[in-house]
Amino acid sequence: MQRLCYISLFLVAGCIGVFPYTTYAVQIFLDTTENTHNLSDTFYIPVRIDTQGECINAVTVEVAYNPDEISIQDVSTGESVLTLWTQFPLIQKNEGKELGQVLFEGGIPGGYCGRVIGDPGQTNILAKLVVTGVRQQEFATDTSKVSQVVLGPATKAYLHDGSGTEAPLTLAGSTLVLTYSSSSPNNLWLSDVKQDVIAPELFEITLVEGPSVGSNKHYIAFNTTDKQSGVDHYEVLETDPDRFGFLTWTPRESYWVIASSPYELRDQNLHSKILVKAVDKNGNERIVTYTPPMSPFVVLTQSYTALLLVGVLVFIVFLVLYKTIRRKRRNDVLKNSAIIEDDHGQ
Amino acid sequence: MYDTLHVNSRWFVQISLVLSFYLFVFFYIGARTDSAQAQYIATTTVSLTVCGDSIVAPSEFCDDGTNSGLYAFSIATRNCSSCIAWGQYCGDGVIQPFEGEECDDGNNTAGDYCDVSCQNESDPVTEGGGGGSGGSGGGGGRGTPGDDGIPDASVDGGIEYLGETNLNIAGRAYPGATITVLRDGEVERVVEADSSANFTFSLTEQTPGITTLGFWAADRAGRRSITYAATFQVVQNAVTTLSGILIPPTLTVTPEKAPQGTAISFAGSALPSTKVQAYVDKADKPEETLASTNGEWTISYDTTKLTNEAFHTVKANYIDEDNIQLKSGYSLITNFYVGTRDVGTGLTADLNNDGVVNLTDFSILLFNWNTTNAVADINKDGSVSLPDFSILLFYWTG
Repeated sequence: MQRLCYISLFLVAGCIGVFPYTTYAVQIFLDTTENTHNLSDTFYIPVRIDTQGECINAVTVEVAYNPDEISIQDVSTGESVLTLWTQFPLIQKNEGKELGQVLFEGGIPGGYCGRVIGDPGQTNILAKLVVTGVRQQEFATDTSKVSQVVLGPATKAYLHDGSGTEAPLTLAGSTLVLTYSSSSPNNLWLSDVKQDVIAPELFEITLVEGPSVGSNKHYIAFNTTDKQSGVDHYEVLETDPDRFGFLTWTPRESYWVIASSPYELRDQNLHSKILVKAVDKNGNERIVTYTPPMSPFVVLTQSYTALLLVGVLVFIVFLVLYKTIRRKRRNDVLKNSAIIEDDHGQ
Repeated sequence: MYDTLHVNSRWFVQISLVLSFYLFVFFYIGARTDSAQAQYIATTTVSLTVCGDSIVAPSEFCDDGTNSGLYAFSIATRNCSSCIAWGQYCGDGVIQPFEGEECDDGNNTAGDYCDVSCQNESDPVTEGGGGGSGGSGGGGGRGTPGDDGIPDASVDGGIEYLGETNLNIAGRAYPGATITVLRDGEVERVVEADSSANFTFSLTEQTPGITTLGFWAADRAGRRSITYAATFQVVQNAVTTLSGILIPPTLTVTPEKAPQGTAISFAGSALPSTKVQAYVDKADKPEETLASTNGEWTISYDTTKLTNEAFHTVKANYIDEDNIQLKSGYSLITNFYVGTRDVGTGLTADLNNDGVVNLTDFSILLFNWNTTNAVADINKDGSVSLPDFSILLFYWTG
């Protein structure tokens, strides 16, 4: 009878505890379609989202793994549905510590409501972790090793409802089985990156006025995507940040600097042409140029400079003419005086 | 004592089982209701057809994978042209002198005065040794025959034909609406809807891969809709067609602040002659009206039933009652205030007040990320964080 009581309690608890989870929560999960890999291979673990009929527009993802068992080499964003990143994928290996972490955070303008009917792909990848096994000394004697990769509690998704509402979420990690093989390692990531010959998408540079960001400085904003290997980094170059006014024939040192958006301009006078370079994982580059609008002050300064130059030139011309005429008149006077003196002498 | 315990246990078990049954029914119905509501909300059915995936979709005439439309030497090897018609071929009943055809009797059968490769037969073969598949290979400039003697459909003069990666888009908004098309958040194109509210356009030479297209419309009165987005895979060397886009209605509230008891007006544009439903706060029963033939709609709403001195929200969608499948998503959620107190406006994602929500606003948000700066704290919760980002993306205009 006591056993029957326990079964009854279990049924009640089951009804209360299980059924709420059968409602339609957004799922973020690590794709475990292929979970057995050669220890020395480099393979992907895609982080996917299933919106379950909801529309979401922002996610933050935390992946935790054991750095003694696997190594996250990189994070591929080429196939990601996220187009704006508040936190580009960050790998924290935390060597010597218990857990390594991968963090990223981004969003989709207009939201993401799941797979479009007829889409040949699943189109639900948030990012792909590029993973390889870590060879341990005792591994040679083992035939396989199991490693857990989990999604951390910081993982969140937000509904596309205009109120910033956190979506009910279920998370699912992955269990990897790593086997030892003497065959040569297969690096899927490297071969995919090598196949990427297309530069990142064309993009625009936007000037952000200082006061609008609560600052008195000028910034630029930029963003693009690379649909193959993903954007690796951005670089910015300001052609002549130190020039002033009419002194444009003396270019100063200009160089590319690795940057992120928003970028605070070195040339706060906005005299320089600005170049932004987006570089993908294979080194393909897309460079766009932006010429800031001339400020009224600069226009005025340059106008005055031109006027001053013209004025100086006109003054010199008048001076030369005046001196020439004056010399000529003096010569004429002297000549006339000499003739008169000659006439008086005769 | 044992009997009492025994009886109590039996009662406990029976109660537990009954309770389990009711909980099961309750949660099961609850889950089903959630599901139904989810289906009710996600209404717009956008579909994607790929001209180049070798699958003939209902909207396609043909799809052979390459769809080059190049001339072919037989009916069997004819090439589909952009999924809308067959390209020219020997056997289409039309003589193509530029392709070297001397005749074309609408088949690839020998023995009928026109042979398998559309060359004249002086002595028709009537029996035996019939029309083999080994084509003549034709004269110069007729392509490279494949291993079977028939030219490969995807080969033209030895160079593999790779079609362009194009996108065709078709959808509906409101008559005369201006639709701004965003590609991965950036403005890609501005198109106009015709008098029937339809819009179509093509984007050529696209980069294959995952793409998010967003659409928002401005109606004739200049009111803006929410951005509707679809994320999908653009297939390389194929024409991907995205159809069935329904731009949600526009919505404004006039006045934005009104004393309790006075009427306020909800107005906007929708698909012509559809039923517009406006939901105030979390009301289950919407206010309804019919959009006019030019898409305009108005609902006069009595504020008596709303809480005084409080903010309220309204959102709208439309349904084509003739076509139950045709149901839009919701409009922008618009705030209004019932009462007389002096109050500010609601949320604004346009952080620099330039009239659009785009990369500049995103940049301002990032600049103030994880700070308490009120400049970018859209939801006024004391920190600039992911909920603010989510709201910004909701109001994104590019």
